[in-house]
Amino acid sequence: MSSKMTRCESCPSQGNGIFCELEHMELSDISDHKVNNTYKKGQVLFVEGNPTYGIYCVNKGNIKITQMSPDGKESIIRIAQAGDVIGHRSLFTSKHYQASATAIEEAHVCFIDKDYILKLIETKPSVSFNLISRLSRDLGAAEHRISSFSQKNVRERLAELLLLLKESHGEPTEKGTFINIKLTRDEMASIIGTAPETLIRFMSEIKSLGYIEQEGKKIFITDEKALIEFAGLEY
Amino acid sequence: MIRGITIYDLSPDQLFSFLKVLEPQVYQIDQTLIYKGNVPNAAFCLLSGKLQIRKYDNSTYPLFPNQIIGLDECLKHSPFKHTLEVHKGTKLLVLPLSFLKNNQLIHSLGQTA
Repeated sequence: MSSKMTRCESCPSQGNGIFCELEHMELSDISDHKVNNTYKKGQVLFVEGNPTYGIYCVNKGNIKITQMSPDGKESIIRIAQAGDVIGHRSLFTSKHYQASATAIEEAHVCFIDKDYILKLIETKPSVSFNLISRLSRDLGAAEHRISSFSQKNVRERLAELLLLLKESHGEPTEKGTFINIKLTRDEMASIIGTAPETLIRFMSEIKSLGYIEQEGKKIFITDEKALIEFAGLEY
Repeated sequence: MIRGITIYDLSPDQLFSFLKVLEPQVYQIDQTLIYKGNVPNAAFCLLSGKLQIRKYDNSTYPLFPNQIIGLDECLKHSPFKHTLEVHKGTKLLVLPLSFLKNNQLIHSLGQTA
């Protein structure tokens, strides 16, 4: 018995992905050559250091991309969401994945093997262009993060992270913008390069200033303009 | 055969024909290759090291060199009945879907693409 397969033509991320400019028949061909799965929270898609053999397209859910330091500490380098591609950098640069990918909540993901995607890149300029755009965007984000680490203090980095999460996962509500992503305090601390205790202390500080509200683990941004100023960003 | 999963044994000639086109991959870190209920991203052929099936009751069954697993499920897009784990230092042939669909030898293993 076959499991239910999400077709590219009816993908919920259509419009956000790298195949969106392709014709219906071309999308149908991709559907025939991909494998789609649901990963539960904590399940690992690929592991840093293991061989690459394809890329993953996120249809739904969030995936954390992490790297391990020599002393065994895990750092989150980005969060992949619906429409994102993961594992693509290693396809071009290395025979091994340069990072690990783990579902932080239930995620629907499609896998396309290396041979097929490389053939697609050669024959479909729109796919190449979209991949280059993604790589450029990722590079820009990485450069910004490096700059942020050297120029901003932890408070500012935290404020910036909240604003980034608001852009990518924000949902307007009466209370403010709800950040709809399940990140633990440890994970948030990892992203901004600080200890969880420090993150919790600065979250309380930002909350006391009235820039955010918290309901249990839920975070609402209530004063975006003030948070932008606090993060040292231009409005 | 483990109930619900078909494992194919490759002859030396069959293995040689795969090795002519596929490069063996060495896994540096322990990893779950296929989670129970998921469709395999590829079929896997053990060359050396440790590849094992973990059942729902946590019992494990090792595969032996030159055995292929996940072939039927990958081609038919059907869920794998157990969990497949690879251990550090294991050498595998990874047979992705596009390879399986286009390879004549796969048909001789009794499968249709």
